[in-house]
Amino acid sequence: MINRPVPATDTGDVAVAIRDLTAAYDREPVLAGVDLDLPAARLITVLGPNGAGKSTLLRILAGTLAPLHGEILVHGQPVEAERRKSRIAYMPQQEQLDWDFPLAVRDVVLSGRYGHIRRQGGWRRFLPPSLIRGEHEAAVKKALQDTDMLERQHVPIDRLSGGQRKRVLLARALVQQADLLLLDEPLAGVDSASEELIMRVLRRTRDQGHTVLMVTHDVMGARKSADHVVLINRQVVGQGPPDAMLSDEMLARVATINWIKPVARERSLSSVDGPAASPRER
Amino acid sequence: MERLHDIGVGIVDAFIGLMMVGVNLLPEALAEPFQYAFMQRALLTALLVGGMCGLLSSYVILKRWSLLGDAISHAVLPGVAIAYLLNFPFFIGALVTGALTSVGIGVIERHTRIKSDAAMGLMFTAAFALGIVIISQIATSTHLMHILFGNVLGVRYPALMLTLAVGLVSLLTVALYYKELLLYVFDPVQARSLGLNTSVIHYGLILLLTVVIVASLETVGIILVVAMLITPGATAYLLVNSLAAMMLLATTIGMLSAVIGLVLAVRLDVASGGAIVLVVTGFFLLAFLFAPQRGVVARWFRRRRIPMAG
Repeated sequence: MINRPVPATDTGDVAVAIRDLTAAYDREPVLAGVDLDLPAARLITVLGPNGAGKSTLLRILAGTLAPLHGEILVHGQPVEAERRKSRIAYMPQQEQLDWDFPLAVRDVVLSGRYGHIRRQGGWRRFLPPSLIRGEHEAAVKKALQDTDMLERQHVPIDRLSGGQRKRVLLARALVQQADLLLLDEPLAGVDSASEELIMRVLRRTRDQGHTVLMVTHDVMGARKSADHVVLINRQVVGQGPPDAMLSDEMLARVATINWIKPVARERSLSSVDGPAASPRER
Repeated sequence: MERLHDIGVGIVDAFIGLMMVGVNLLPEALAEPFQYAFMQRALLTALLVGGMCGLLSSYVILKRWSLLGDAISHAVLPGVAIAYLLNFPFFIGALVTGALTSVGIGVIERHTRIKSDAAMGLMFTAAFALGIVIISQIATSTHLMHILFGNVLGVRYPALMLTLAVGLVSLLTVALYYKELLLYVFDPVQARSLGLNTSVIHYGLILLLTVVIVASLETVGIILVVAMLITPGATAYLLVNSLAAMMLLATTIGMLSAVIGLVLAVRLDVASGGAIVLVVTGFFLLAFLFAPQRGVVARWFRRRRIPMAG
């Protein structure tokens, strides 16, 4: 039994309220009538077998996938409005990106501020990245420090290791200073040093009052560090404290969770490239 | 209308004057052919086309849109032909069929199990076939040749004004929306989660590409414009590590190739479009062989020095 301090900012607030959420790819339902209230300022882990709709849930929250129907409120506001204010940050799986892209670490992290820069309006929103200063620069520096990537900020991203790539994507999410942080398998394929660092950063983010929602296959990791566990397999199988949710019985109910780190990735569902936030494969 | 035309001619002449200041600094042997007005117009057109194609080629390479560029450029042909038939500006016809084809590709892709490469190949060959059929009915084969392969030496003021306007618009768009375009091309999912309207960016970029292709018709023609939309970006991609540098270098390579190609075409009396594309391909070969890190020679040396590594 691991003793975990109760988060300082446990206000009992609801960060995300989901009602009757249904999503499908080519008529094959992935999520069916999901109802879920997620507590604010907690480290929440979503667990489920392959194809259970974990990533789908995350992508709907991130706005890259449109549900068939259902309602989502984030901090009491429609999810779309919260997104437009950059209050939701999303960290994708690294396989979704082209790491040969001619960018340095810092460029990628700074791109997390583009939403803020656009909203500040005026002629400054048109400035090229190299001329961006002030709070944005400070936020980038802090995110790079937190993820221990400051020294490598000018390294082209094609020279990074797997763990470093994860840390860059985490820094890009942190730099938004969003209230809700969505992470898709943040620990998959990461060496233990990076894993340690990522979890430390996530716990600190939670302690500062942000809600951290991560999707994972890793039952052991969830047992160790989650405040709140959601078991999902097309529907919500259960949610609550890790001790209650990660019993053998509950895990059997959510069925075929991989106990060992997965080899095969979840069937890569549609990523919205360009138009049409439709749940169809593009 | 008359007035507008005169203003346009004035602006073009101002640009030509500016350009000639530079040309006259060159050695006389090089500057000499450009004393003729038609050569000056050709040079300005070539510079503009090389520059704007080069600028956009970085996006084409990184977004893996080479085939889409190919598709749009072919799809422009029926529009040009119909515009010729109905006697309205070919620019508008080209834009309409170019846009229709990219929408058609999207529709096939989304509503059938056919993947995007086949959808593109199918749509653009169909559009191209339609263009050929119409043109074979209405015009001489020289006319067709000019649309297919360009004739930069015959460029007149209206076409030059159009090219200039498109060049300025694409430069302005890329400069002002550099960040949004970067984010969209690198990670459209992130762009969306930051609240950007990715549909607008997606179709905006395709529209910009279409407009640039149409404006390049007279210089390199619709077949070879694809090379100008791929090769400068591919060359720069081998040489640098930042997007801004890649775009700057690709633009420079595009402009240089256009000018050198034009001069060679005049000197050797060969087709200008072909000459320009051969020059840009030459640049690519140089980079392929001698790029400092990614070139064949550099890699060969690295392997020799550190055996067993990699």
